Amino acid sequence: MQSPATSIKSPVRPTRTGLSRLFHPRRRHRLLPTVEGVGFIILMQLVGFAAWHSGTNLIYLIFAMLIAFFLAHGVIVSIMVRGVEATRHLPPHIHALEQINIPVEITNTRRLWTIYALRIIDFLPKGRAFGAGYVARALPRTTVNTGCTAVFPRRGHFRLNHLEVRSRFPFGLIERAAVFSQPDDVIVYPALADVRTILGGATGEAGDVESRTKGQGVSLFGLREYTGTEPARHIHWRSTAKAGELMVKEFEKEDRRRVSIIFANHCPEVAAASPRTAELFERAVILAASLARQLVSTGYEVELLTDSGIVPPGDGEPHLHRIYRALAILEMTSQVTLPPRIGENGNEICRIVFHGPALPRRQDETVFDVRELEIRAGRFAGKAA
Amino acid sequence: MNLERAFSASILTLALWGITALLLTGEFHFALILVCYALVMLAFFSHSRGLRIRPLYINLLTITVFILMGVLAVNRSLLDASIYFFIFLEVMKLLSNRNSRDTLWIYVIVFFQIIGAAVLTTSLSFAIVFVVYIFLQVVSSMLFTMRKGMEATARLSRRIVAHTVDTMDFGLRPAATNPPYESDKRRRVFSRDFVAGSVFTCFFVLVVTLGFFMLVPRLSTNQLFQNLQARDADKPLSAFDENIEFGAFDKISLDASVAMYVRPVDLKDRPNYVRLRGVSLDTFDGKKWRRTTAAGDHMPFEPFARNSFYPFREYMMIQPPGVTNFLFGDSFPVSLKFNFEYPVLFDAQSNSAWLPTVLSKDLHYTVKCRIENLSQRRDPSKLPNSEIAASQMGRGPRPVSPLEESLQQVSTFLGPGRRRETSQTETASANDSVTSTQSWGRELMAGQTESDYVPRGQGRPRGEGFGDNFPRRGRGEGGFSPEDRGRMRFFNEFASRLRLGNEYNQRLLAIPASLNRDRLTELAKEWTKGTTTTFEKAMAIENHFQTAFKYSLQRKAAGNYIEDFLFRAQEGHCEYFATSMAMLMRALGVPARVVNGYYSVEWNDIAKAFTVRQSDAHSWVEVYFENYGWMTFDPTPPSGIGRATQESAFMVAISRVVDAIKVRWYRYVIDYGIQDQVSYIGSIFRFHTKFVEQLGNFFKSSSGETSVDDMYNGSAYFQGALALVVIVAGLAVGIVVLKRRAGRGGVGTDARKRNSVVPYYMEILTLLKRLGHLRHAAQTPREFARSLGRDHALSPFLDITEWYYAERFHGEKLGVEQSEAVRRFVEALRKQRRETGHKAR
Repeated sequence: MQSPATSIKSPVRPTRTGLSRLFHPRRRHRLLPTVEGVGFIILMQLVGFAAWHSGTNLIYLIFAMLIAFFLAHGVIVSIMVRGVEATRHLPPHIHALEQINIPVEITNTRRLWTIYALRIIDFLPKGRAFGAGYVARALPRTTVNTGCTAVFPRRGHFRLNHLEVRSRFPFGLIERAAVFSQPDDVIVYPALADVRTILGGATGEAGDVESRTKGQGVSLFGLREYTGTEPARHIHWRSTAKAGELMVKEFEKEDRRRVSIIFANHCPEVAAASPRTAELFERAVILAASLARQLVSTGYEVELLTDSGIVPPGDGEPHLHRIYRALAILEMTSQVTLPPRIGENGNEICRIVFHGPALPRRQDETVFDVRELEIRAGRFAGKAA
Repeated sequence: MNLERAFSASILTLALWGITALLLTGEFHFALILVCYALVMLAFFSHSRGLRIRPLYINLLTITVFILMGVLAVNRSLLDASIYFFIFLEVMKLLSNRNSRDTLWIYVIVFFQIIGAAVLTTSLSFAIVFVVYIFLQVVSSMLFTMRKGMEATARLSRRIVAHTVDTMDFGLRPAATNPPYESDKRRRVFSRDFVAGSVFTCFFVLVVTLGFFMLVPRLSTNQLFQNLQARDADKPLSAFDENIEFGAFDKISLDASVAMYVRPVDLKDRPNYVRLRGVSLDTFDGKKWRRTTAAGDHMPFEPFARNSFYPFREYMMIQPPGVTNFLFGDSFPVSLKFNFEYPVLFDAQSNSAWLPTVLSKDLHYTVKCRIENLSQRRDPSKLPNSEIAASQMGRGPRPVSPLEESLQQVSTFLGPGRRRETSQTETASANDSVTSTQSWGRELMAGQTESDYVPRGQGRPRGEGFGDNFPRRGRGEGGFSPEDRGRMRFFNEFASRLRLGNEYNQRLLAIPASLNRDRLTELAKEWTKGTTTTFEKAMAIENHFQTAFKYSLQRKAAGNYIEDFLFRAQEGHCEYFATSMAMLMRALGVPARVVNGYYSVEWNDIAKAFTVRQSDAHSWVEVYFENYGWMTFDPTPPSGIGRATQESAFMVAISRVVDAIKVRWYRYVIDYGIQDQVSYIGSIFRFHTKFVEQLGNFFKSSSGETSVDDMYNGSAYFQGALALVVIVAGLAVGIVVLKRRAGRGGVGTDARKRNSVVPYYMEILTLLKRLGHLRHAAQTPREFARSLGRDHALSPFLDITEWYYAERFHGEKLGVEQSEAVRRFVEALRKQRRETGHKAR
């Protein structure tokens, strides 16, 4: 009976029992009215009135049935919610504007009662729901893993407030909610957009590049006399024949291709207060994160240089997450800290500009001015300089 | 069955059940209901197969039907129109069931159909309708809530995404695919736990319903919804009728449906049969009997006279709705207690009481009857005065004079002067007493009307005239107190006797012109040859009918029915016998009349009541004797009296159980009222008072103020309650102790051991040590387990050791099966340890 997103784990023990619950109020309960419940109460009053006026016992019987339905619902919905423990497990990497599935562990601590139809709603501090999930059934003393479909509207630091487990089972007359206080801090990475179009030929092909020094590459660097320690397969026989002594090949050193993403995030305070600048800045952050992802995925070593700090060159997923994390909390600053001669170590340079006058473009760099680039359906459009 | 299918099936079943509820009321034509069934099914399957009707057409159709129903409501019945309209709405909703709101409307419509059924019927079938409805509604609501929960969550997810600010046009759209939990809709829903939960919920709802039904105060105004009450039946279904018309009831007399239930209040004094008197008929026109006497208003009387010297018996009567508007009693009903708020009409001469119309509600009343045993009838003219005196002293073997009794009853409420006269006669000798009351009775019989003898009622409406004899408290409308309104005394012999001397007497002696009086007289004299008294003549005619004539349900007589029956066919049913005897008695100059009612011998042991069926309808004769009153004669041969059942024993048993349920249904559901609630509350208070009193006695005895004997003699009730408390407390303590022991032993109930193997492992090591398997300090757990591997009984220990490793070093907890295996192994070791210990001792 479990959906692909859920799975039954081994039985678990209840977190707290007896008196210790009183001293550790991890959760509180509340009742929420429903439209069906309000209609039901009105109907109940009408039937009660009819019974009172007509004195017909069978209408009294129906009136009693309505009361019984209401009471039964109150009892059962309480059983449904009181026996639940909920724990949120945040995924390690979350991007803004990305639909994610936050795993939530629902534990039915009851020994006898199967729990049905639980809605899980995750809340931000201001009571704004940002994720919702559902559990159709949880057997007694089992844990069910489900997912809350959620989306974060922007990058940055978020504090998740509480998790609510709601149930209207069995009759939907009143919704009962168990509020689990689960404060969690999460760093939401910038949203990612498709930059392949604007990146185009701005950077060379992925892979290693040759440097003009000797090394262990494959391209021929030069010939020299054989010293007796080199492998015999490196002997260049044609030159040996010409020179009359053993000559060996020397090879060029191969280096990883490296890109520096220069994101000068300094901005005068007056300009920073403008919403337009803020939007351009956000777009620049997204562009930086998207460029980093694209470059790392194509094999570059990427370093991020900002006025707020530097992420040294590196490659692979962990390095990419370091860049994301830096960009997630990057804000505009009024101080310029980037050195003027930056990027003269032979790296390719991707400069991201979001405000100020257009700087003269250097020969070895690509300038991405977000004022000239647009995001359409998650894809950057425009032309890089 | 998956959630979607189960939900659809539940909706369809519920819709059909709503219509079935209406069908079972019997108020609608079966063909019409069949059409409704077909429409509902058609609507449901059309919708499930994708047929969609444009809302415009639905609205137009609804308006049209609404107008038609309005016309129907004006012309016929608001209730009919409402119910048909609800059925139409149900069909429309099934056709356009798109979302949960439509489903809710279907629920509401079905609910109103159930309400309609409750208004239209009070039969036991509604109990079945009600219970099944609760079950269907519970299951359907549960499925609906599960389904709606999924939809609501999916909707919320979509809304969260849609409301997320996407200023940069990131193309953030809710996922096109359904969320994963929506796949649960296609999974099997009727698992064991769901079914168990549904049944539990139904049971819970039913129990709570009954509890609240008992508790909700019955305070009704009975005004607004009177128009919604079921219409009066056009014609009673009963074989019993106020009139007799020959040849009309053969078919009805075979009807086995229940006409009423008769439950003796005192079950120790249960008779073998009941002869339920309904109405007496005085005028016969050769083909049809009718009652020509007029009904008075409802007449409240005092409670029963206490010093009666007739055997009386009280019965609780339950008449299902629609049977008849007449009220019945065994032999001669004397007084009546009822709790319904309808005017009761009473005809003193025919000694009959009835309601103005046949009600759709059942009738529940208690009737006190003077019992007349036909086998113990004696000639009134030969009754010795000493026997009357003995009866008056309460030592008499049987009642003697109904007239005397009637006169006594009348004198009880006729005012001080008359009462004084009666009281004087009571102190005189027995002989004088009879003489004086009889003479007073004759004075009354001299041709004056009953109302003339109501001393304080002259010139005032009846009812107010009885003021001095009735309690004045709580007088309501018409001068009757609520207590008075519920009591009525039949006025049988006395009242009818008043007019016997004149017009009524003439009617009771009349023979229709279509009958040859001389021929009847000749026949009667022939049959009564050798007899002298009226009683002997009546007995002779009764015996002749019972022995020389045959009982038959077939209509054998034709034309002049009675003469044909008497002189040719000599075969017929009870109406022929009763009419013929009445005519013969009249031909002999003896006043006689025919009585219609029921005669039943069907005792239901489970219900503790007589079941009276339509086929038990019966007619007999009442003959009037001077100075005595009316006496019952039944000329029908015994083979025609009482219903000989042809059903199998099983069917009889089933029938009795059903009847027993019906009796309880009418008693405790349909007739349940404020009096019952007051009674129950009173019993609770009495219990409380008694309990407190006994508690006081108990402590008094403990402190030595009361002897132990007193305590034991007077407080058995309290001790029972105390014993109950002690037993419950003992059980509770026992459960707690057992639970703790189980927890300490670790046999699967301790939550700490459920998932962890470590506590088990430690216990296993201890047990193994006691069994002689000591683990050396240098041995790893695995080495120790392998060293024991040679012993087959200990082989599971290898696996347990591996699980122990997995938990200690990898944090893996036990699964359910593993936990069970460990538990079994520990149990086995414990058992082994116990056995070893016993042997060692």
